[in-house]
Formats: sequence, C-alpha cells, structure tokens
Amino acid sequence: MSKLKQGKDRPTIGQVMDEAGVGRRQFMKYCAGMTALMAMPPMATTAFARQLRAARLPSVIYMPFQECTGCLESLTRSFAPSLENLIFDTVSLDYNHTLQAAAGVAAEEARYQAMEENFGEYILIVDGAISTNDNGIHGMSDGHTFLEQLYEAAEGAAAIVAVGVCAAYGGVAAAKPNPTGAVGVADLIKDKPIINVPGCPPIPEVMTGTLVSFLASGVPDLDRHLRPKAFFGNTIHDRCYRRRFYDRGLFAKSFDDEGARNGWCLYELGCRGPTTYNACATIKWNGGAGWPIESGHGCIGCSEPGFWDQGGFYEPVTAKLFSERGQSVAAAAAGVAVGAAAGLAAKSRKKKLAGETE
Amino acid sequence: MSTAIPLKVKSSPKGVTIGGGVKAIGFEILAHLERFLENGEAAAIDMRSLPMAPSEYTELMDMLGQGELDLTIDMGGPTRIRETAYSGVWWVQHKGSDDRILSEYIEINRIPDFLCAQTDQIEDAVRELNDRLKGAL
Repeated sequence: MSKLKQGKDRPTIGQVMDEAGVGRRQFMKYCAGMTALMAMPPMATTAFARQLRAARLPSVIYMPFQECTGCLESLTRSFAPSLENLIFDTVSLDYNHTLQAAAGVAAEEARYQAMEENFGEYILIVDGAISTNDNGIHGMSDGHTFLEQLYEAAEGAAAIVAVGVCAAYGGVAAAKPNPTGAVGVADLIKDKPIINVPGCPPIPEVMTGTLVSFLASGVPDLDRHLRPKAFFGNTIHDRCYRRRFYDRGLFAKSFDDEGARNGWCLYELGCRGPTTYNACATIKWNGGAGWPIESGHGCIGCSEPGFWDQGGFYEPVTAKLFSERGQSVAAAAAGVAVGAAAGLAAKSRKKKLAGETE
Repeated sequence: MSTAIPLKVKSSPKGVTIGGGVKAIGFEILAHLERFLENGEAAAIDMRSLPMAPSEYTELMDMLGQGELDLTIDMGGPTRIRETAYSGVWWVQHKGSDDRILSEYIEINRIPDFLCAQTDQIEDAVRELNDRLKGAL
C-alpha cells in the first residue's frame, strides 16, 4: 500500500473501488453484509454505501502490546469483509509488525513516517494491555516501553480502537494479582475518541465492522464501557436460541446429562450469557458456522470488564454474588428462579456485577 | 373479490403448520406489508439477527412459499432473490465468493432495492447517452 497517496491526497474508498472494477451492486452487496452485521436496518444500506464511498482511505497503525496475537489471528479470519479486502481495498495498514514484511528499524521507520504524514487523521488500533508498574518496563519493544509507545502513537490519532479485552480493560494481563499493573487504553488516554472492541478474541466481523462503520460515519454509538452498541447492545442471553429453555426452567445439570443432550439452558453450568454483552449469538464464529453455546459450552463472558476475575467458569453466574454474602454456591444455584422473575433477577445481578468491575 | 391477476405460486404455504416464533415474524411481515400498501414505506427484516433454530428457518421459508421469480445473480458470489408466495415479500440472500452467507433478509418492497437503479446513476446515464448521441450527430 506504500504506493497510495498519503495525508489529504488519499483516495476515497469509492475511487479505490472504481479502480478495482467493483460495480455498484457488488459494492451494495458488501454494504448489505456490513449493515446486517451492525444491526442497522437493511433499508439503510443505500445511505451507508453512499457514506462509505465518500470516505477517504484511512491510514491504520496497529500497535501490539501485552497480547497473545489471538486477536490478530481472529482478525485475519474475518469473512465479511475479508481482511484482504479490508487492507487492500479499504484500509492502508501502514504498521503492524506481525504482518508486515519490514522488520526492525525499517518497520519502526514506516510507523513514524505514517504517523507524521497522517498526523491527526490515522486510526490507531491497540491490541493488548499496557503495563504501568515500574514506569511500564514490564512491556517493551525497540527500547521503548509500551506506555511510551501508546502515548506517542495516540497523539496524532483521529481515534483509537482497542481490540480485545486486554486492550479494552486490561483483560487476562490484568488478572489478579496483576503483577505488571496492566490496564486498558481508556485508563490512560483521556483526550481521544476510544472505541472498545472487547473479546478474547473479539469476533472478527465485529472488528472489521467497527472499522468500516467508523469510516462511513465516525465514532459509532457506544455503551458505558465504550463498546459499539450495534454489536454489544444485547446480552448473549437475550439472543440465545436456548433462552426458551431458561424461561421454562429447563437447565442442563452436567455437560453429559439428558438436559445437555436436549440443548437446555447452560445457566447452572456457569454460562455468563445473562451478564455478557456481545454478538456471538447472532454473528456467530467461523463465518457463521457456530458459537460456543451451540457447541454445548456456556459463555465465559470474555467481552466484559474484569472477566478473568469473575469466579470459576463452571459456577453459576450468581455464585460469586451469593458466596460474598456468606451463602453457599449450592444455595445460589438452588435460588435460581425461572421465567420473568428470573429475568429480573438476572438484570439486577448484572447491574451488581457490572458495578463491581468498575 | 380481488381484481388482481393472481401470482403463479410454485410452492404454496397453505397447510404449513406455523410455530409461535415463526408466527411472530409472520405478523411483523404482515404489518410491514400493510404499511407499504398504505404509504409505500419499504422495510426489511434481517434474518441473521433472529435467534432461530434451523427447523424454524425452514418453517419460515415454507410458510412464505415460493412465487413466480427466483433469480440468481453471480456477482462476487451468488445472490439469490426469491419472490415469496406473497406479492411484495422478497427473500434476499447474498453469498460471498466462498459461498458463505454475507447477509440474508426479507424485504417488503415492490422490487428489492438491490435491483433498482439509483437516481445518481440515472443522472449519469442521461448525461452519457446525451453525449453519445450528440457525438454521433
């Protein structure tokens, strides 16, 4: 992408599409996929397409910090649109030291050049938490701490997209006792628009969809944890196809009992669906092939703040709440009501848990 | 008695048992269809955002039936546009080149928006055809 013009001379996405011979209907088809992903009404596709065509090709700088490369692995498995499309047709990925051919000094020079030429306009993607203890020396590359690199790269960014639960809220790196003092981007940067796309990893289509949405219409509507409402507006539980069993009080008691074989609700086996906001139930994974609950395992709540410290994955979501009140886990499980009352209780529990993580 | 020329229905929805979830979507389609008839407001229902079991998907498809048109357009992967047994109700499915579903929705419209020429395109066409004809003269 180095041949592309930089700064204000960058072409629009429409120009790139025209040069690539992408016709109107093919572009509309692409946009129909995007608007569906973003839960926009399908009739909004035409307007969305018009906005996206007019957007200028952005420069993207992707900074990996305390991360495991799982988020990037997920992103490169995006289906709609594919990362190839995103990189070559939509985005000028100027720096990503895992994907780019350049290495060492040459790679860092490419980053500095992109930051200078697109100052104030580039999208900064952050992957991984940032160590803050001992001036951030627990995470370094090229002789600089991640902390320094984040502040430096954030200065000229138009917006920052924190991909993965680690970049968003500290995630696994911040799990107790958090020896490196790991935090998320929003804990450090206060003067830039920040969009969190949490998950471990996030759904690839949610990452690409967030970027395309930003190109078309700027920072999307965000919830109180800075997540795009289009993707994180509902709980897993709200959209789960097993919800009907929850409402009828039909729960699997173990992973191999009759209830599990009949596809009953996994609530009592630790499913975090009621307290987790994400799009797994609708967008699904691996190109829509399936998702964890469909495979018979409860949600582990990986898109929520502090998810690693929310008690055991196989304890009911209420267990932590009740054990803190001095009651037994068994009592918590037995206390699960059904139907509307249980729904209200779940909402109340959700609020309490969310409050604890803030 | 309706004076409309009847649609030649290839797959009739009559006799299909309708479950609760599918019936709810059916009423949503009906409401959109009535609104379209009243004020021309088109609408669409995103199929991927509905938490449906595979059997319900099939049930919904059976309930809507198959009308006269069933188009497949090859454009970066197949796009299938099916007219249902109910005029004005279309089932649109876009697939990528890898045959995976990109989007799928039921559109309530005279003709799916995807097929319609847009005003700015027609403006371009007027200009281009005009130039061409003037050049030919």
